[in-house]
Amino acid sequence: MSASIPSPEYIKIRHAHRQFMTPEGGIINALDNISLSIAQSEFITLLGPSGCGKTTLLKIIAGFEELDSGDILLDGQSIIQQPAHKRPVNTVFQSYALFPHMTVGDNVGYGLDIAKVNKVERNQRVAEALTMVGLSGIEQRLPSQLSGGQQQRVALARAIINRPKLLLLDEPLSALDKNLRLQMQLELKNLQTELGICFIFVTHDQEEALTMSDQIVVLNSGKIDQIGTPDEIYHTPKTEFVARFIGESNILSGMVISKSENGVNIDCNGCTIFSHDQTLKLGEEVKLLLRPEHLSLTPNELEGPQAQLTMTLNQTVFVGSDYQLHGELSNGLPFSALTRKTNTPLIKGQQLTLYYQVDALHTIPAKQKSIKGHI
Amino acid sequence: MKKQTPLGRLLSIYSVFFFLFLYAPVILIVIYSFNSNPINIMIWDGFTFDWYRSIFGLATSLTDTSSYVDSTDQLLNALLNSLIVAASATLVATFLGTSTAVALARYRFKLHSFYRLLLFVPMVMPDIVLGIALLIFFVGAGFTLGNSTIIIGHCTFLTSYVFIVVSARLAGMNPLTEAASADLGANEWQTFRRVTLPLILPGVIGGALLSFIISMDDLVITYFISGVDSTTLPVFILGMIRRGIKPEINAIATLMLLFSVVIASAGIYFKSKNTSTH
Repeated sequence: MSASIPSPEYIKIRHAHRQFMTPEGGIINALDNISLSIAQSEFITLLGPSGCGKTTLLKIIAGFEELDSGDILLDGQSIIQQPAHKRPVNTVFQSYALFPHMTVGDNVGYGLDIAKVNKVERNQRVAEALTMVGLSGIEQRLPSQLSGGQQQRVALARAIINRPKLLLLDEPLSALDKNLRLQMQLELKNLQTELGICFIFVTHDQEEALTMSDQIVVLNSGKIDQIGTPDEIYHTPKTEFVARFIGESNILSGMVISKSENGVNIDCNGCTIFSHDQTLKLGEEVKLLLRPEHLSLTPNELEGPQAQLTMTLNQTVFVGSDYQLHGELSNGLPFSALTRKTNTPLIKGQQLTLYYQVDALHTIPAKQKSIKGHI
Repeated sequence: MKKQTPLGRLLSIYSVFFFLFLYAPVILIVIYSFNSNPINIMIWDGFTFDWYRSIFGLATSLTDTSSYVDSTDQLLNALLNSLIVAASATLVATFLGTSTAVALARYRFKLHSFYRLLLFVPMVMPDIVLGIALLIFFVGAGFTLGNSTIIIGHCTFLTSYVFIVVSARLAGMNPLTEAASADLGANEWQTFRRVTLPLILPGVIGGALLSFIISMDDLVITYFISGVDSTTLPVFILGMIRRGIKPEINAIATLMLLFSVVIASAGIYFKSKNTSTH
């Protein structure tokens, strides 16, 4: 470790810009002037739908793609002039990309063999790396003899053995089945804590991002929509895109029609909703976010003032621990709620009163620009 | 098993005839290579190894007048020439074909698809055209016709065969394995030697064996560009037949067939080896 205090700007991406030509001759900004700083030993996730630029950014950091303009600094040094094989960065690929003709031991030891590390140390470090990912003693097997989950772990061991300054993970869990994926999420997070190196994890799976990350960067069409902790991203999304992309959401459009000293009244197609948000101006257009799990069938004033909405029930879906209730508000807009098992009979067409904490209502100014942010 | 319909039975009979048509002449040659009748080679007269012995200049029960191979030395010399030509041309064509295939598969450059097209053309070009063109070129450029011109001539079309076999292998390879190698610190040469080459090796060997057989077997192009001292086996056999069909032909053909089958089987074995490399 070169520094005892983790640098808050260990990795700096400055005005990264990358364009692609479409086959029709149009231009797509895969990365639109992105700036970002990442602290040392942080688990950061690049989250976004396919085509948002997250994989392009990862490839550029790894050295498989080039920037049109901008710079990337790692530990104070620009790396964009270095070819991929000279960068102190390693990658876990989506399809693992193990060398099919080499044993597990040779796959994991590949980086050390290239670096000409002596045999004794090499074998010892291979064994250590395999132990770290929970696969000790399988050096002699071939990748084709392993399950998907085991191949994933071998790819991980191979990528960490060079002790990179930065580990890139390109949707490494997407090919695994759900239970294994959940287990690997926890293991990856533990491994990152243990190694203390920076992980940049790319995914389109918002649950995965929320589970593992210290910071999430939400990318949308080549721009950063929001940078924040999973909690911030989930509870206080800055744009409608983030609100819709992360978790289940009810989003209503409205306009501020009156202000009082407690807050504002917002009209949403005939429904009036009260918000504590004092920053909103009279006449301002606003999006309202209410997460389905914040709605309840029974009033509970203990944690603060509550408000209520009336929904006509269209459909009830049992999802194990909870019920999803789908219906529409009095103004005809679709709405949903997530509630515990309840004694109230739930009949289609029924009018339900839904209660929520006024503080749980999150407002997003309708015109919100993308940010260029720092973590 | 399901009962066959009349049409199905007809198709079975058809396929039997199809394969008979394909292989009967070859099978007859093999059988008649053991025929002891020296006058009419298609009339069975008893079993003998004499024709094989005669090829290799061994003592036979034949009288001197019935020995048809002019000189065993000439035959063996033609065989040796063929082997030298095939081995050299294969070596050069394998190197050229493999490196071209890697270049076209891994890099994008100007006139990329045009180069690809140029590599397919020698395979569809009529042999006689290529033969004449090469002859005019060699004579015009002042080459003395001999083994070296045959080797150069064979390389022109063998490179295409190697290119196609190796290209197919490269197309089936996960290109991310090369990215992974670079990511782990290997430069382009180390990546080629440790990852790309081992993964395409079955294709390279398959392409080389295919080239070897094609080179051994080539008559038309070789005929144009071989010199006086550089007769290959197919050209030599053509010369023999010109002076009348002789029983040794059957024995020589059988030996060549055996040789080709062995090489081709090896080629197919290497080509299919570890095809699932993902």
